[in-house]
Amino acid sequence: MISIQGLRVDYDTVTAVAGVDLEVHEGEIVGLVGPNGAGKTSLIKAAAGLIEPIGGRIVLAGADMLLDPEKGWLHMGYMPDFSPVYEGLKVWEYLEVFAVAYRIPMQERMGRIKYWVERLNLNSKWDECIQGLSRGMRQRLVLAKTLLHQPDVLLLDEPASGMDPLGRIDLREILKERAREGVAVLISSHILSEMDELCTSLAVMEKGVFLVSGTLADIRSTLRSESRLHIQLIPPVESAIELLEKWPGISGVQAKDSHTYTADFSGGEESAADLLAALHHAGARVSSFSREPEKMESLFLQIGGKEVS
Amino acid sequence: MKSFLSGNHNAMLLACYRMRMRPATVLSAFILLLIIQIFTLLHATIIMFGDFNNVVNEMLVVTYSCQCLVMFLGAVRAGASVRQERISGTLAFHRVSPQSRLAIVMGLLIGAPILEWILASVLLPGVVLLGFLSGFSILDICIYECALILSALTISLFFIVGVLQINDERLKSTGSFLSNGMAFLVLYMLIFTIPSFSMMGAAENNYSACYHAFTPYFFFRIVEQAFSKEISWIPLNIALGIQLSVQIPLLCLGFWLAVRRLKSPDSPLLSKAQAYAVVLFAFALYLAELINNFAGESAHPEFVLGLAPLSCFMGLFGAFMTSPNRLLVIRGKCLKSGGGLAAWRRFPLSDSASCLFWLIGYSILTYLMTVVIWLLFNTLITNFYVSNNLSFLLVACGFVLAQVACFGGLYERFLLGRFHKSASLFAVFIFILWIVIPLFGLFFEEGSVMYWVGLVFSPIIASPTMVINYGGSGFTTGLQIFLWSGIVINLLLAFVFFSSVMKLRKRLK
Repeated sequence: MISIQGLRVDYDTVTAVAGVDLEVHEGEIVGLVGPNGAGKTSLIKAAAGLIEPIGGRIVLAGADMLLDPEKGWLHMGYMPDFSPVYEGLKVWEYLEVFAVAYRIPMQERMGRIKYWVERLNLNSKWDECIQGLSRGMRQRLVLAKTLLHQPDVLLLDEPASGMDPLGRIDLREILKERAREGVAVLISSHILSEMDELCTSLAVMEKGVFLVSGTLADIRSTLRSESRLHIQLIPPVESAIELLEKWPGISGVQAKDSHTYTADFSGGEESAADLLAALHHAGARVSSFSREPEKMESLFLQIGGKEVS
Repeated sequence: MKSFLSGNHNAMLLACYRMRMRPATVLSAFILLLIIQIFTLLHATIIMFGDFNNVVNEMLVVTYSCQCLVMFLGAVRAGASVRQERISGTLAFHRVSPQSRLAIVMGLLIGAPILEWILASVLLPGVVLLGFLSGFSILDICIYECALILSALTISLFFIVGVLQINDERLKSTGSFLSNGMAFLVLYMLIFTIPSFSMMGAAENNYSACYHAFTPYFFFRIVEQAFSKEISWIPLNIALGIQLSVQIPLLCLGFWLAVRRLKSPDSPLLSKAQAYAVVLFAFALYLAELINNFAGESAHPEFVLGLAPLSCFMGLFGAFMTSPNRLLVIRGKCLKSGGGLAAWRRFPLSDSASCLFWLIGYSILTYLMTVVIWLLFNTLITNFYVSNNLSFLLVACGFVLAQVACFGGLYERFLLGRFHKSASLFAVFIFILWIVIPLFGLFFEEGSVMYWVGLVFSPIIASPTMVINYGGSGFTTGLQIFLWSGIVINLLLAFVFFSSVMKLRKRLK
């Protein structure tokens, strides 16, 4: 659905995107993560056909964006990190303008507009001027505009910025729903915890290149990241604690209360299973054993600290 | 065409229509217009009490003036709307929608000033009625209205093109935007005023492509026709014909420029083909003026020398507009190297090509013009003075073309090298070279070495100075030495700059 090969974007003296490859298939939600200036916005803008890259190839929904951009635009929904709106229009009028732009048949226009206005909880603002809308509401409106023509490909540049928690939940649900219907989504965001819950795979960008890309599980295994163990024991606990402290890959054993303990664990799934079996053999009575994976923020910090190879 | 002009098919038109046609806005505009008309009627009635004809004439002139003003405000509004669209980012949304670029431009052209168009059309019955009462024929009124509509469309389109050409940083700064707007207005006024002055005394009874082609002519004419009735000017339908023949190509050129900017905003401001079209248009206007001028009784043989400053101005304009930026040079490299990049055919390689190729074509075009002029004045119009001037014109054109080549090479070297980061430094350097040094040289005795040396690298001062000097003293030895040495020096420097440019390109590969 989205195929980017060797994309390179230059601004005067700066190379914003230095030859990246990316594939987003039907039903996938790929997150672009990276610090400011990493090249995420440039990548999305170039994919949308808004800035002209130096080289590479972009194919959206089967359309080569340089040979046949009109076909690509017909199937693409683009949302930037700010809200481009007509201040002087009403909510429904704004959506009507873009319904016309995307050649939605006249008899379907109002039905679709009403659907997305309701879906994004903008009903109360239907006949209000955009000038009076909050930033979050404007983001919702631009999201409605982006989804109005039922695109097969979504390019979203920090869509949740400025949205309230309810708006973010709506956004997440809608994107998951669209992905289930076969839409390919490329999304960039700084709200990493939400990317964690939303994306099927991630690409971490810095200085115009991908440091790491793949599914979350792939990235975790690549980084061999640490996870946190939560263990609940029924007294006596001494032998279990002794075992935990000696176990390779375990550090920082701490008691949260009299029978709940946490520890940093750097092993994989098999090692965790071996530990549980060892605790059982040592006579420890384990009432709960869970491994909490490393949060996206921590992963991001780890990746960001690495040098670009 | 129908889909371009229908809100159900043209999104930009619909957006502009919805924003501008709010009942409160429309009502206040109508009330303002009504107040102006009532005050005019009162003023005319009080001042010219009892003289019904003069009251009607004044009302006609004021109503037509109101139409002109409203249409001009509409054109300004069109430019302001494009600016707003670009700053807010909504134009980018239109760009990534499957609409045609032409539909977007049409939407802006018709939609942004839609309120002004409606107000002007509301005034139309008034103009027709007052015109009848004032003794105008229906054809006269139609011609005046056609001229006004055509001019309004052309000016609106050029405001739109002007705002599309400005880069984002300058656009966001209000001061910078206003200064650009003022510069555009001054340029517009100059373009239309200079030919008018040049025609004074010579063309009043003849056909002047520049003078008769623009709105002020029709405005002044309606005033004269309303009050004096003694029309000494050319027939009105011929004036409209001249206007159509000038403004329709201008409109086409405007659409071409606007569509290109929307398609590829990162490319040079003009494609090479567009630059040639602009040059051909300017040369055609000049040739028309020349023929017109020499067909009249009071001929100005020196007018033929105007080709030298004109080719200087158009050459600099073309070199500035078509010079590839660094980005395009790199893309050109990618295109040449192939390797999966053959798909980037949308951006023709010619855009990345050096402006040297444009300059060669332009030089050929300029010399073709001199040949046309030479043939014209040695066969059709036998004029000894003009034939005599042609030998000077050939050398003068060579001199200005060499200067333009030198500037083109320097500018391209500046863009491709590391210097492009310090644009202000380049501007200062050019200011010193083009203005300060030549003005300093002019303090020396006319014809002295210092006087000429200052002018060697300054196309904008050298062109008029050499023409004036030739007009005063003829083709003197001093002037000949200056022109020939200027050609050699400028061409040598151009060679150095363009060689350096080629080396840079090779390095980029």
